[in-house]
Amino acid sequence: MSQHIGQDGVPLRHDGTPFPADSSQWTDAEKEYLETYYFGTREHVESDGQTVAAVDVPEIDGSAIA
Amino acid sequence: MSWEHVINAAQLAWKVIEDGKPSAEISTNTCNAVPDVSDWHSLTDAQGPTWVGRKLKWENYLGIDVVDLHFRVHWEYGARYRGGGAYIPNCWITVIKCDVAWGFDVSLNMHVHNPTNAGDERAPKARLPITVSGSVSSPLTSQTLNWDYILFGDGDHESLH
Repeated sequence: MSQHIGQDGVPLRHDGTPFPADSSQWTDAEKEYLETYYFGTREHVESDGQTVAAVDVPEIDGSAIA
Repeated sequence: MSWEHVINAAQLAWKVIEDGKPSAEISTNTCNAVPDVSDWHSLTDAQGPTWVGRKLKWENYLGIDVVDLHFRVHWEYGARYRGGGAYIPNCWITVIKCDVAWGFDVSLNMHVHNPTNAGDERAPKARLPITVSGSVSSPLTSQTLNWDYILFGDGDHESLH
């Protein structure tokens, strides 16, 4: 099983070679390792917004409509 | 057709992030909430834009940030028709950051719902509901993303999630 990550962020197998992109080439033990440690994630979510003072909503001048 | 009816005279939906990268569609697609009149292009006094958004980060159990995402929905507000009302002449989304590590995929889409009038007949205030949704997935995991926002013509907004 992999215990290393390559410099480009690709997880490495026990023999130091990168995992292939095709998941069908992963062994069951490798899948379990990847699912637990590499693909298992903690999510951090932060709101990002600007608050502006609400503008007035004046009436439309209906007499100006042709 | 009348100014108290608010319509979206632009796009209804577009891709924001596709295959883990910002979509080209975000540079050309917009939506709006404008009066249902033929001369809505004559809106004046637009202000802003202001924005609402999310910063999202997924860290795996090896301590690696595998997804780092930041998007903002911008809108201009306070636009007048014949001197009154508060409409939204432009709304768009930008991707400020989208870093996706090996094995992960991110997709994100913008959906625009029917705008309505949150004001009254003489002083219409545009109300524009939008949804930003998608997923973060890998060959072994998948997580749905969904945020609903309501943007108002006076510059206010509500985040429903």
